[in-house]
Amino acid sequence: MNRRTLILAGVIGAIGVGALFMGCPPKEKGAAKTGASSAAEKVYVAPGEYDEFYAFFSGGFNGQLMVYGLPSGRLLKIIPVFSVFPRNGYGYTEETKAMLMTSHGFIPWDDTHHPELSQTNGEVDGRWIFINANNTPRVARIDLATMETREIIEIPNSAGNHPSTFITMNTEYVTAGTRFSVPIDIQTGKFKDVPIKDYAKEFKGTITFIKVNNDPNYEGEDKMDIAFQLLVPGYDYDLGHCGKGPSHGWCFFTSYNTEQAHTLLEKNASQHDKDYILAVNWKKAEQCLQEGKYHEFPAKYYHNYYDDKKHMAFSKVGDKVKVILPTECEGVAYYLPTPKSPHGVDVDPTGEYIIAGGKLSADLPIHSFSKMMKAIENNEVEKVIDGIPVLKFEAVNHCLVPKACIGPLHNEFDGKGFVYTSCFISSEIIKTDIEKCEVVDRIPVYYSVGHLMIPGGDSRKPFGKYVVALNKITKDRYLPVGPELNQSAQLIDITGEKMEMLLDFATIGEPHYAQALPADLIKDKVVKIYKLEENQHPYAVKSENETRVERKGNVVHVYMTAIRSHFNPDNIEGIKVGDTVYFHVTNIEQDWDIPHGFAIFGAPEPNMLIMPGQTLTIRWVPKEPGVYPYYCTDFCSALHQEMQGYVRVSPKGSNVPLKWGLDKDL
Amino acid sequence: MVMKRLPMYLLPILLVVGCGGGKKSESSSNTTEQKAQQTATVEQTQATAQSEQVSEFGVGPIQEPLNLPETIDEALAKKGQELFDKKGCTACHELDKKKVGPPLRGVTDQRPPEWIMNMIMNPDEMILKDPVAQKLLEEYGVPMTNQNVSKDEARAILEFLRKAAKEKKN
Repeated sequence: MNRRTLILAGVIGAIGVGALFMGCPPKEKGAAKTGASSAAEKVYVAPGEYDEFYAFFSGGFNGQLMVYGLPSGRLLKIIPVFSVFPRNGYGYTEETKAMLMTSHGFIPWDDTHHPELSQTNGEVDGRWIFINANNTPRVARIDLATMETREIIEIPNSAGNHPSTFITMNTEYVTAGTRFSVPIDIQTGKFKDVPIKDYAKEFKGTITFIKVNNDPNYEGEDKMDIAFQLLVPGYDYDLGHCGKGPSHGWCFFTSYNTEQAHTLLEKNASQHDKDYILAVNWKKAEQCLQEGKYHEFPAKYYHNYYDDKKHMAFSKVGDKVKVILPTECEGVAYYLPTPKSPHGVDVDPTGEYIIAGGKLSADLPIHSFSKMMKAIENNEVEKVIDGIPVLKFEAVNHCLVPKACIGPLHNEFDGKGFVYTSCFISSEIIKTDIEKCEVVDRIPVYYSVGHLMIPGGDSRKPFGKYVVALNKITKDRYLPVGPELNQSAQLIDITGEKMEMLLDFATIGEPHYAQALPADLIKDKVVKIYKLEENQHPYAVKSENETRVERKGNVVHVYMTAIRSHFNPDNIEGIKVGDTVYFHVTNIEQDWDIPHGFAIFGAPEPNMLIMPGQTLTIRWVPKEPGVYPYYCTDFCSALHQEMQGYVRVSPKGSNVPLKWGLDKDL
Repeated sequence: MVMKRLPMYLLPILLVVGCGGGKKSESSSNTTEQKAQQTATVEQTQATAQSEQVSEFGVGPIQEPLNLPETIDEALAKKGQELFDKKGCTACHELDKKKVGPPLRGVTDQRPPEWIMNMIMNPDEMILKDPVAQKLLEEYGVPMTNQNVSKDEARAILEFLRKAAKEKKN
């Protein structure tokens, strides 16, 4: 530092000190920071430092799962699940296309709603996260070590898979169910061609339990399988959550449209004062399965899984499913009357309280599991519907929190005896003392909150600290960007008696539910590279000496490597119009965060992004003779711009020989 | 450089004289102050590291002399040759021809074996700190990639290179 700099430093220092003194609040008002500055400190994560929580937000109609850091609200990653993803080629590469196969063919999109972290003994364990596809019913499992989708199973006999994915206490099962009942043809496993007005007679719902293989020694990625489906009356099954502790063995699902309307539901499905929570005793169902009390229905469904040693997805196709009828398996299910058109249903960390979001009722219904068990024992039944006893409301209800808020939807828990409820119409989150049945705090949110999320907030061990409001309507919260807006999330501090608003951040594609866990649970287990020596891809090349081009009739396989900063081969000749070319590119780097991209001129597929040690394949059918460049799309080194190659395509029947090379004339 | 470094020196001063009094405010200033000081220390370390003398072994896990015998361990050299291919080295290196990186036959006569192992295992840091690695980068333009080579593997590759050097002499 020279003399001039020192003087300058002194001057700036003096100005700085002055500015700070002038900015100080008067002492008598208290030195504790309030408002924006205090909130900013709570969410500030300094450059280079890590967030305290990983948060996983559903990507809604974007079909993906987003990874955010909390409290900063920084977007860390988008994981493609049910939607193709141009960023890395998911769903476009030959290896990943199978992930999106269904009995209806290749489906490149879906609507994801409810992520759920795997649990052991009711606590988040950091292994996997599940998420549902609502439109073409499917359930996916994402591995938290790679943060990539590893498995997708299709749900037959279902439509509008909304009460999904909710898991049991040890991840024994993942749930799925029908928001849209359908006329299931039990002879064919397809939907019947019937008049829609025959809804009440013909349409049925199903609740599906997917068994999860939790064996740590089982290395296969095909860990899910459909255990059974419960055939239930044709209502709209909306959301769910499973029991824990004393209520382990049960899962709870809300239903609306017990009126069984098939048109103008907003009026016709809002007639009854109470609809039902369906309580399913899955341990009883297991017993009925053992006793043979089930039917085997034909049902075609795809089961896709990605092998990260072979770097490739595979599909199995199921052809039948076990279906249990409540009339034949006594005690498998009960209905709990619940006001009114309830949406969410959530079980508190003790496993005793089952709290619904009675969206058309201002009173928040809290049911008691122990009362429910007593009501079953004492046969306090109002009536029986298709083999499902309806228990008396008074016999199961702990309390109705009076005039809690308008439009309560969902509940999360802090583990300290409070439930936090999102209220869509009154745009607020309320905090209620469960035992006392009393609202103790409320905070406005902007605007129209749907789900809310506390890290671990639906487990036996919530981590508390924050609640995130997942708002449906954004309007004026950010700089205007035209008619279409991203959704808005808000981070709220719940460590004090009063909730405190900390931060707004944008989310993509209307996230519905979200989950979060402490970063320490997984951050050191996250995979950084795929080991080249473990790569079992049939078209992998692990060294440049193995690179080659092979013709089999009019199919050409290019065995290519990528490393900073060249492809091998980077000149190819002898491709002809009418050929189908497969570029199998292995990234032979073994360093973290050095992917290479691959894209070729005129290809209808987007680029593929190949991770270190991975092999991916893009199919290319050139239509005209000429020379076509290809290049690395991911800035990989100072000589990234040099990472390019050419393919010469000649007319059909031409005698240009097949040649390839690097650093030489062909 | 001068402007960029200025705030680093000022930050601790500014924060120390910031609003005091309240307990909460005080403790949070302290934390920020500590962080600022830490950052400043890191910056200084980085700045001095450039000029700091790097040992002839370079920067990396090998800092003790290997004391290799004159004779070649043939089995180890064979393993090294396989690894030279399997670990992706051949993407940039040949023995007798300049490919992307330098030809490697005879490298063991030019550089200490410890330096070669460090360059194989720790190229990112070598490029930042070792003057010879920096000179090579200037000459070839492409930084050596980190291929996650273990110590045992690097030792085997070194043996392969030692053998290659001997073959040339013979």
